[in-house]
Amino acid sequence: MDRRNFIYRGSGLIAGGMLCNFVPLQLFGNVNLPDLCKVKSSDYYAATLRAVHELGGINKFVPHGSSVGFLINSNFEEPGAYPHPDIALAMLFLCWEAGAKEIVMLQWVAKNYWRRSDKFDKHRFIIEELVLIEKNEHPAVFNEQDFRILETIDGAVALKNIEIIQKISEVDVFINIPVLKHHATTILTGALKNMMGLCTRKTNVTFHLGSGVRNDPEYLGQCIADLNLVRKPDLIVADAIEFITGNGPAGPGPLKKLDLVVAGTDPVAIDAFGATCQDVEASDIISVRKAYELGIGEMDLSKLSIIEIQA
Amino acid sequence: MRTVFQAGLVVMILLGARNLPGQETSKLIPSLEELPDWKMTTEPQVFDGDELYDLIDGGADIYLEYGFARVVSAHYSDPSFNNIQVEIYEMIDAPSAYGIFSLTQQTSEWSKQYGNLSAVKEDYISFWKSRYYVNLSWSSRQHLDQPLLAGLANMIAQKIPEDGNYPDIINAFHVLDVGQKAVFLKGNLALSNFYYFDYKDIFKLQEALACSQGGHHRIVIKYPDQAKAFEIISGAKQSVLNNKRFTDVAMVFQGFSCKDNKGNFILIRQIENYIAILVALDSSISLVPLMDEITLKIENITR
Repeated sequence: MDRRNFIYRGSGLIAGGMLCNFVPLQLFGNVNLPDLCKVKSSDYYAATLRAVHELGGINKFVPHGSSVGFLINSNFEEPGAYPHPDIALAMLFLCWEAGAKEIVMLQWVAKNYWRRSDKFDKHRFIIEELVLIEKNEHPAVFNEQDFRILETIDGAVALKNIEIIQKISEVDVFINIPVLKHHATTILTGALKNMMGLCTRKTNVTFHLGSGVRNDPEYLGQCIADLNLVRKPDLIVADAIEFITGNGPAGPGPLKKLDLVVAGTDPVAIDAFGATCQDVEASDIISVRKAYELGIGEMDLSKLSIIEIQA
Repeated sequence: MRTVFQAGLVVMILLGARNLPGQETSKLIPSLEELPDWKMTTEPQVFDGDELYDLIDGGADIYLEYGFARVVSAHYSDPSFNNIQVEIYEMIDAPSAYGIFSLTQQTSEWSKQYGNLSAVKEDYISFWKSRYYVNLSWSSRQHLDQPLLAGLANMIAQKIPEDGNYPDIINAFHVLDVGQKAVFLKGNLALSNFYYFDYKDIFKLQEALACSQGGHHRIVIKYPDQAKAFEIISGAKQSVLNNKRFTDVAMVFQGFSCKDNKGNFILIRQIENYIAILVALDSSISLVPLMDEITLKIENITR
């Protein structure tokens, strides 16, 4: 049994069905792909594969031989404060299957994170090959090898002189894996705010204190939106499986379980959906509003094509 | 000249006798003599003021809102690769430490097992005593030695000489029963972490108590005087009217009512120099009698 079948069988999935992920849906005619895909299932690995398939399949996003950068909000201990590792493992597997040349963890991911999944052993061969940017671990400090300084960002309103991971401008494909959890200051930590994981601690502190006013949510939201102008993810796969609705971002906090994996390419839309997970309006999340105003994406979910699948 | 020298010497001795910032808190960290067979992976680290952003990956703002002075963090490991993380947060005063404990542990069970109040889980102990908020966690989740963790918590609690006082508003409303889990709020971030109204500080909150009981949330905010409370409730009503998350905004006795996006009925009333907010989490709850009860209590306090 080769590794592919090993994983398929281990996941309880039918290989034939799974291979659909690698066959672009467009081959079957003029297919209207959704903007957002929500898959409800208790098998989060399978739900992730299905969500990507519904968006057109992994080959649409990851060309053979490409380098892929992952940003996973993994550095938390409490349940509901980090994306379920099955989502990240499924995405690793898809990229590996698509023939990615290298898979880079743009922010440090501890081995302990992967071990929280019972599928860890089956994916060990991919995990061991990952390129880790070890210096981008909280609190990340600037070094010339891993980071670069962006003095200005085109279109940014407030943010400038940021220290950001060099690789974000080098990888061919960028995949963002957030969890749609609560945050004490911004209400939601989703796709938009997860981008702060690409910056040094010094830069991130300016988001909080840079306006000269403590706890300035407008400025923080603007900086988060501005940061998302640096590079838009090619694919976002968000955890709305189980997440904290209070005491975020670290928890422990009250947990809400929706058993949903949500995928799309628009971080504003993903976070607008995240707002509903936290029982607030998209416009209550300042970063969503500001990012929408910058033209990064759509915050009105009624204007988008959204599908929900029970898998 | 000799007098100047002597005065200088006295100043130097006095300065030397004073504890450096963080020194007192560092003394609360268990020493290796107190933890035989364990070692510290690094020297205890002290984070002062805004350096808290170095320790906490997101979420530092709420500690700073409450009045954070410093934190001392230590990490221990044993030969079996078990790990214990101890974090001792020194806040500016005891009410602030109560506040951060009450907010961050609002979903846990409270007891008086450690310090004045504690929240205990299998691999985690958190407690409040004096101006300290203490967290101990067993991070390897293998061979969990609960008695050791409990012993460490007791050791730290005993080293803190004073209990410290509860926030005045908590005392005033006699919500000292651990079962009531009264949360002390010191700003809009804290309020948003209890019940979310608006990212803007529409209630200009500086001192409030909040608790959840009998199918409703109860928030009581104190202001310096009646005029201020009146001004703020008028402004808050306008903000709620402009917020599409709220509907059915109506004038009621000394305040207003509305419904949130979940359909929860909300009643807001100004009583003397306080604003009381009730949120019904269950449609069968009648808020007016509850509000009348709070009104009576406030009138007794302010009389």
